Amino acid sequence: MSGLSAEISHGIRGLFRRPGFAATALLTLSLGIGANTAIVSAARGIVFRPLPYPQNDRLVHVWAYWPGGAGNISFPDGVGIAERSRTLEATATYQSYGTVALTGRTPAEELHTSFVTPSYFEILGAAASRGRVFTRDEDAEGSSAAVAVLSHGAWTRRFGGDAGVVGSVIRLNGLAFEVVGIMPASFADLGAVEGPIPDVFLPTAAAARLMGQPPRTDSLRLYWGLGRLKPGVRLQAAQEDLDGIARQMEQERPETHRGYGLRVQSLSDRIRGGFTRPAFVLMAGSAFILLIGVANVTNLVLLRLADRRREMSLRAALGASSLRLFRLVFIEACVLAACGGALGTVAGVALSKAMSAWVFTNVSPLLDVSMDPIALAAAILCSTAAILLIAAVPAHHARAADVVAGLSSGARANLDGGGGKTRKALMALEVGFALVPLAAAGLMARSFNTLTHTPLGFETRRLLTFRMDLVGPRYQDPGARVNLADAFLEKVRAVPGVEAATVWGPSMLGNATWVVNVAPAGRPNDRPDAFTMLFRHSVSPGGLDALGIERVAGRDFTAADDARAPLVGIVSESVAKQLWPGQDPVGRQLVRSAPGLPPITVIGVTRDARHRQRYSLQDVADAGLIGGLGPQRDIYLPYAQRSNNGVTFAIRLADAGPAPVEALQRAVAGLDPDLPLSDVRFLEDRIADQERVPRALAGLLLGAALLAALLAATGIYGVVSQAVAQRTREIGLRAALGARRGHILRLVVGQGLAPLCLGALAGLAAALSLGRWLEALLFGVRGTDLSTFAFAALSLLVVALLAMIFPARRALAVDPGVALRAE
Amino acid sequence: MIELRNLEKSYPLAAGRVYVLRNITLSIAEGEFVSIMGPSGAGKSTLLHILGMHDGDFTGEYEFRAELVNKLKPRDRQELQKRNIGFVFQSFHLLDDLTVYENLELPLSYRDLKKSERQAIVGDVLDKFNIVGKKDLYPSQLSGGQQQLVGVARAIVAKPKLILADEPTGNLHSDQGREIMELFKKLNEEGTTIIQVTHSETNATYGNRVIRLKDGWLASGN
Repeated sequence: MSGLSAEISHGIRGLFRRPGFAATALLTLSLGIGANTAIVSAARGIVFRPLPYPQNDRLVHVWAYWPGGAGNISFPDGVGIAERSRTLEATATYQSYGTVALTGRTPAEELHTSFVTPSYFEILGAAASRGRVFTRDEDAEGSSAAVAVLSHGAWTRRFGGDAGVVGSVIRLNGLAFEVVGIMPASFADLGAVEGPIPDVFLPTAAAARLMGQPPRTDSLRLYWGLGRLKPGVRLQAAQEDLDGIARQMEQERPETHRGYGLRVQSLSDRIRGGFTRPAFVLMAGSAFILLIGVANVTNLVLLRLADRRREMSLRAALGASSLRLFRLVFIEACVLAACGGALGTVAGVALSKAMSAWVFTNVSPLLDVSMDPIALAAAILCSTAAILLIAAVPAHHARAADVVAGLSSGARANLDGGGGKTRKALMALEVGFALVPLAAAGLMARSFNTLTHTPLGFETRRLLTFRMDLVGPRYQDPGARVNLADAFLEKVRAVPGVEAATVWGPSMLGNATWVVNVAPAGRPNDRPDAFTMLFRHSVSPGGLDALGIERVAGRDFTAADDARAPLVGIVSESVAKQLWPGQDPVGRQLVRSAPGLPPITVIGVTRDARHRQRYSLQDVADAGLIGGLGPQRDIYLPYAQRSNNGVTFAIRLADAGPAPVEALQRAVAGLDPDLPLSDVRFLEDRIADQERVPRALAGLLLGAALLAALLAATGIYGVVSQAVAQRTREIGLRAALGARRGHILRLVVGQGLAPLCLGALAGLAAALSLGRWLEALLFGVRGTDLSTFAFAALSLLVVALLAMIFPARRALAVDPGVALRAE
Repeated sequence: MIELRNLEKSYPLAAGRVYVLRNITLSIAEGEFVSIMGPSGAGKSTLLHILGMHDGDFTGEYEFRAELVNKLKPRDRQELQKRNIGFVFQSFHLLDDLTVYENLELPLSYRDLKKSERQAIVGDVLDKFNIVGKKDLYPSQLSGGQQQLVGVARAIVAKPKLILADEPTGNLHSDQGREIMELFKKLNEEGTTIIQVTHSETNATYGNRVIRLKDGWLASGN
């Protein structure tokens, strides 16, 4: 038994001989290490893993800002950047928004589009897996090339993976396009950052023809910029370069570029920026679980060591040096921890796999959180550190075996002699570590509760929503779009079970927004900040009532508010208060920032309604105000006067039940058989979708917090339970001397209270500082919300006291006679 | 073999120092079989632990085979102990998780003997004590007498010059106790010095000298 192998074998045998101890320790470690392994892997994927593009560290995303708003650039701006930039060696513009109808099938199917310049594929290092991508000529100004590249998903789903589709002609919105290529399955398209994975890639030159968009003018900002920095160029230099270009644009085209600026950020930040903070939060949560697990198992090993005091003394008496005793306990603890580590790593890999699939489907297909060798190595490194920590503390205690005390016939272990102070310190640490995720989970839960209970300002029940893209030659005339919408609404209102129906801007709580930059008429507006960006929604007469948005002043739209009538609008209360504080806005006019556009006369005011994405991680990443908080700056225009191609319909059903999709399809097919209904869903499902990320965050943190509390409770139970076992004789003696139940209870609970309170105080301090960092992720709750912290601390104390009750009951049941005889 | 000169052991208490051993001056020659006797609290076990070099916290001089134990560093004291002393305990103190063979091998493993050497020595001892058939059993599978037999075997496995036994028959039936004492006598006759703490006058008759302690003082036997 002198060799290392003998001690390892003894350690393994010891595990089998004490299955309860081994199971508790292994479960604790598996949970801690498993959670940590999966989260480390996720964090690597989100924060550290390179993007799947060549020269990924040089890729940048370009967007624009202007007085009162920020967002896409226009196509000419993209061209301007490409021509003038000294820091970007390649640029591309792309828009991944909207759908086209795959016609010639019944019913027509919708395909999500991405209009890109050919350089887009070149910059991302992507080539078609079959066929080819576009050429520059095919995207040249005025090109009539009708070519399309299918995504791998669309090719397999819509075309059954038929290789013969390359070279064939498909009809999009009734127009013939030749499929020239198919992208590989591995191609991570940037369109997935803000919407569904595109089905079909088309040259930007085809957008006007296919979508009915105006030609490539400055007035239409629909594109994002993509660029690759020249070698050795830093982001800051690129920003300065773009600042100069924006200033030139402002001087050259002041009517469209007043106050205009360009922003550049790394593509990695664009794709992952929103997920960085949640990843760190989850990493912190899993680290706390691991730390509690480590403290717990260390405590368990220490408790067992206290039981083995006689053995350690005996070994010392038989000649074991303190180093040998250290080695013995260290190896035994290592065996235990390594088994837990191995189990935890296996669990972590499985968890990571499941998480990877979940993230791909539910969060973003561009995030690869799967396990890779580096993540696995990092996780194993964490586990090894944990193992060494677990092994070192008890081994250190084992060195100081007291032969005389340990072998005396009447010797009794007492807490301090068996590492009691260390165990109490570990207990305090466990409480402190558990309180941090508990407080964080409390904040997230309150945030989620606030999010889901903040009134949206309109009636969401039984509201079926869907989109139609009125594009192509047939709908180039705005009047044709209005006629189609009116005719469709008339048919829909006749469908049994439909209570009301309206056009409803682009809303549907999605990311897509239409904006208009306005200033009150009659005020000086030569300064860039004179204009305010409002979110624009197109509705039908009676639409606001159909949606349940309360009008507080003025009138609703009527059929007379058509294309021939002066442009009218209804503003939200926040707009009224901001632009005309203390005044009645009805009858006042708003002028537009773009020259030549007619003013809008305000005819009414509504209560604020939350139409847009209420909670977005991109807002968190941009350090902006989360959409659902603060004033809602909206303006409603009659669809008859502002008929966008992409139009959303909202149908209020009389009863809860399945959506009458077939009736709706029949209604639209009667008007245009090539027109598909897109994205048909009840609004409440969209709301649930929108709440998915904060719900997942709150849920994951809550799970981590409950696990932490459970582990801490187990640790406290173990310490107190062992203390009661070790003090049985003392308790029996006290009882024999007349101690009442209250005295015994105080004796048992009292010894745990000090570390509990100290741990809680330390945990509160840590939670307070972390809470400030968490604040950006919260909806309507401060990161330093004291009531949440107090509730978390109180909950943990209750859990801890409950964990003490069972050993305390055992102490109360000690029979003095039996306890004293046992000695 | 052993020379104690003015050895004292005390503990500090609030009311002053409490002495457990007072002014012990004692000589024990090699080959002796000494019994330390006295009432409870007389300091017998404390003296045994000091002799066994488990306890270095005393005043006075302790000379063991010409080495001044009280001047040795703890590590050197432990080395001296490992080379020379074996222990037998009243409660046997076998390790429950180890088999008989492993219990016997344990002291050798702490002396860094090679595995083959250990196997040979343990094999000899198992044979000598007639417990070969029990080598794979755990202590819980043995009777009290058998456990103490293993305890004695373990004490001599590293071939010590001195065996210290603390009430070696205290937990045994009289027949088993007799067998153990006969074994000690035999070991003594083979040259091993034995010092036992005992309450039993009968057990003391197996030895050739009795030292009596009372209230920490040496009452007789020097």
